[in-house]
Amino acid sequence: MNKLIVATLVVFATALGSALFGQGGPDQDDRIRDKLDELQRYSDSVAAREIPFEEKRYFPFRKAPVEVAGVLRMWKRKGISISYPKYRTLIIYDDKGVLMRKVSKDGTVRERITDIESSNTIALLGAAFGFDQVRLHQIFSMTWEESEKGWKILMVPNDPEERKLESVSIFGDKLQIESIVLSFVDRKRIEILPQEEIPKNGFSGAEETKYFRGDSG
Amino acid sequence: MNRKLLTLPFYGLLSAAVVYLCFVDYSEKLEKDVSSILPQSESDAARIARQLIDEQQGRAVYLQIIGFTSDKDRGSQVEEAIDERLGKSSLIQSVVKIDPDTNVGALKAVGENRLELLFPKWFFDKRKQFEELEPRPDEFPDWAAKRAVEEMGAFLESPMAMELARPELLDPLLLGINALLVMDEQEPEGDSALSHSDSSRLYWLMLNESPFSPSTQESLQSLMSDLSSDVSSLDYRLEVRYGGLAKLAGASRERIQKDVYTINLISILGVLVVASLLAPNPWRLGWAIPSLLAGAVGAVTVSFLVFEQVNILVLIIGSILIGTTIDYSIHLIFRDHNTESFPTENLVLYACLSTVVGFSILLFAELALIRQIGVFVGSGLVVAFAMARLSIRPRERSNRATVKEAKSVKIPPLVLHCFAGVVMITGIAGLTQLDWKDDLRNLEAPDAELIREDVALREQFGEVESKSVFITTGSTYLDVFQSEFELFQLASGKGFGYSKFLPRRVQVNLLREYSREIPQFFVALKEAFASEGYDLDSFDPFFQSAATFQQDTGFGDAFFEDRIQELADSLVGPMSGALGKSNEMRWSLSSIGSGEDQSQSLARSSDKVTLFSKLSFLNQTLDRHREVLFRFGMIAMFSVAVVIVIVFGWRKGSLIVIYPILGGSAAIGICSLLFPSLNMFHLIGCFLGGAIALDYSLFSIESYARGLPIPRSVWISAGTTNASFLALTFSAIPVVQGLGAVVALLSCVTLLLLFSNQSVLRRIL
Repeated sequence: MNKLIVATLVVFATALGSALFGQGGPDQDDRIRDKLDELQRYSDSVAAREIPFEEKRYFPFRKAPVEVAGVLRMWKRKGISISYPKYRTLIIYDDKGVLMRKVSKDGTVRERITDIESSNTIALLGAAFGFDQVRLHQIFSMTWEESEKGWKILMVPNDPEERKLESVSIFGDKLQIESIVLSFVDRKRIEILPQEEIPKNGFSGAEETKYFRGDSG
Repeated sequence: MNRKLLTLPFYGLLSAAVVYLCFVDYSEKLEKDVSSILPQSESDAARIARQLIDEQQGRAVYLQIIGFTSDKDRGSQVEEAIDERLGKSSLIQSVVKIDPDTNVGALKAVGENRLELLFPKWFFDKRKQFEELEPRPDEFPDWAAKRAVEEMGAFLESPMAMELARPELLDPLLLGINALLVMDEQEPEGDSALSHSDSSRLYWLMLNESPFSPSTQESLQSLMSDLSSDVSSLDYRLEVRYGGLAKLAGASRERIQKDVYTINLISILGVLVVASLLAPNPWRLGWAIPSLLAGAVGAVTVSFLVFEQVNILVLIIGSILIGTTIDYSIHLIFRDHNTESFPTENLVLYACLSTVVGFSILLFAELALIRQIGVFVGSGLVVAFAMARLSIRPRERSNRATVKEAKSVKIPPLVLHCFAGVVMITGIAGLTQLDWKDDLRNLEAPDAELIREDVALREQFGEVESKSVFITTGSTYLDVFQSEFELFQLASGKGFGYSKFLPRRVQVNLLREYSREIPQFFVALKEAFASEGYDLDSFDPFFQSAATFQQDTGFGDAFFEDRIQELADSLVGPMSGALGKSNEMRWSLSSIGSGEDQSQSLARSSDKVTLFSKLSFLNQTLDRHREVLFRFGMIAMFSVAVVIVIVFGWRKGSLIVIYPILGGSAAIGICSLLFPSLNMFHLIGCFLGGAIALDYSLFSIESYARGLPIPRSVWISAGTTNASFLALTFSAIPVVQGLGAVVALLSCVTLLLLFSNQSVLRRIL
């Protein structure tokens, strides 16, 4: 099993833990909690991780999905960064909020600070990967389904007025996340497929500057 | 002349004036708006700018309400209360709530006419790219259609695709989305309106009335406090912040009003202290009070009768009357009595007339404010002089028994000469560094903290202080955008304006030139999208309007002009006024983040472009008026000098004239060292002080010619005049400070030179 993906799941699952226990029977809850605790311990032992992922975007006006590649970087010290190398675009989530950074062809860096609540998608990622259970509960209602194929967590935003994002579904089998699907209004959908992890002990100074928020920002 | 014959009608008129002043409506007669003193300029850009200030930007109120929590129900309850309060206020013409979709909202109007408004640029850019290709493909329509499909693919892969690929924004050519991205680029980095925190709400309000009207300012203040109490009655803790010209002008008005009281108080106290120190029987100064009051009554009455409205600044500057009108009484009351009473009544009359001539030059100024000062002070002087002549009884004037002999001041001549030398050298040094610059903001009472808060608040609405705003004018929008686009090219593409995506003259011309290719292009586009797996039904409205686009428009100017005008009319909030028409002129506002010097040089690059930011063009108008005033002033002073030389003979006459000139030069020189730059009010002060100093010079030279010392009345007068002019330096308004300093310095230096040169002068005379 890909350990990093497991770790990612741990993060996610830990954040969701309390919601899960509310949905299932006592035996099921205990079983999941044990596994989550186990994975949580593993997660805590890793300081930084880098997960390349494939993203499939489905649009109502296009038959085939558009496929793009991205990299998710998590570092306890600095937060989370999602980069789309082809577009020189970076989304940083940390305890200061969300920062969008775009580097132009001529090297000009343009940054925009976004409040966490201004984008549910970013808020979701931030809250989920940032262990922010409280915020997750503020934003979403969560349900848990389990079948022979694996399990599914369905998250629906609480605020009906802000449902540009209709739902988030996380599909997994045992302790592995297989895909994350974000469904938007206007029949748009994103499917994220995590790939093989690139092991990291931490990030270099240059990587820190490139992928995370500066101290002043 | 029979004194009684004159006295009766004079008192009659004066009583009538007092009655008039008791019944006149001061709120109507007094103009408290500083900007109203600006000349009505002939230039189109200035006229449009003035219109924008009067009707658009000037009337905007920036409202921020901070402290919303994540409790959405409570939040909406509060928002409803705010909307209701703002909605029912008769003060507010319109309310625009600023949210992250503001740009999208502005684009709605663009989106509805996207082919007409955005296709010309797309076509122009593609045609240019096509022409640069080597080797060039045969058919432009096919090539362009393929490019469109590629660009759509690239967009859908980009991170903003999910957010922006909305039916109302998306079209096969990405016209709406590209326009949105151009608009979005103008937003400042960091915490802008597009990314504002959920804890605050921004409202852009438009006032119904002028922001300069005191009643508007007061109503706005009470509306804001009502808003605060509405919110707190809902048990919700929120902070209400607001800004805009109405608030700044209101604060400025309050400071000016306070200024009037403070300056007058300091001035009166100063005059009394100086008089009690210099005058032998200071209580006799009481005889000057009727003249002083009559001067004030005369000045206000004549100004009110001559002008429809008198600016409040005139009253502030009118405070100087306390110093100048009292002079005639002083000269008459505290005359020296040796072989004859000195100064003689005729000399005092000459003195008065020369001062009146000095003030009357102001009547030639184009600026209403300066003309008002001329009339106010000139009429005040004449009435005060007449009152002094009529009210101070002859026995009072010649009561030798009450007059003490003046003690001669014993200062070693060397010390005096050295001091005069230092003053003159300082003055000359200052003259080498003259820097004249007029700034409209110097006419107002600044409150640095309030302005800083206002700038910070406006930044929340996307207005950046460091950006220069330009007005581009032309007879059609197509031409306006062409000129504006050329301006951006000069600024290396920096800046934002509608010409970045709306049709320009060259684009529409090109569209006409290749109009035959356009139907073919849309057919090719449809085929290319279908073959790449796109669902054409989703783009049906676009292709339908594309089919009739050319037939409907004929690509005529009028068609594009009408669509742009519709867009201009639909702009709301901070964007309103960015495009518009006035008579036959169209304008567009653009902003460029350039420095002051670069902005000035950009503005000079074309006669279609005018710098609007920081009111610099209004300042240039003031500069121009200062130059005119200087010319008139010099002519008038020359005339006064000629008259004096004729009346007193060339030797005495030229000596009388030369001392105020020396004093004036030294005063201007010293002021150029004291103030960052000199402005029109220093110049006015120079003429004013020159007129006063001429009196001292006249009396002193005449005294020396008769073998007498400088009359005591001159010292008392100089003391009181200085006290009242120095009071002006306590004003919060920079130009008033400057005026006070110049007059005080000028009269002091002139008297110092006259006094230190007395032995030389006696020999010459």
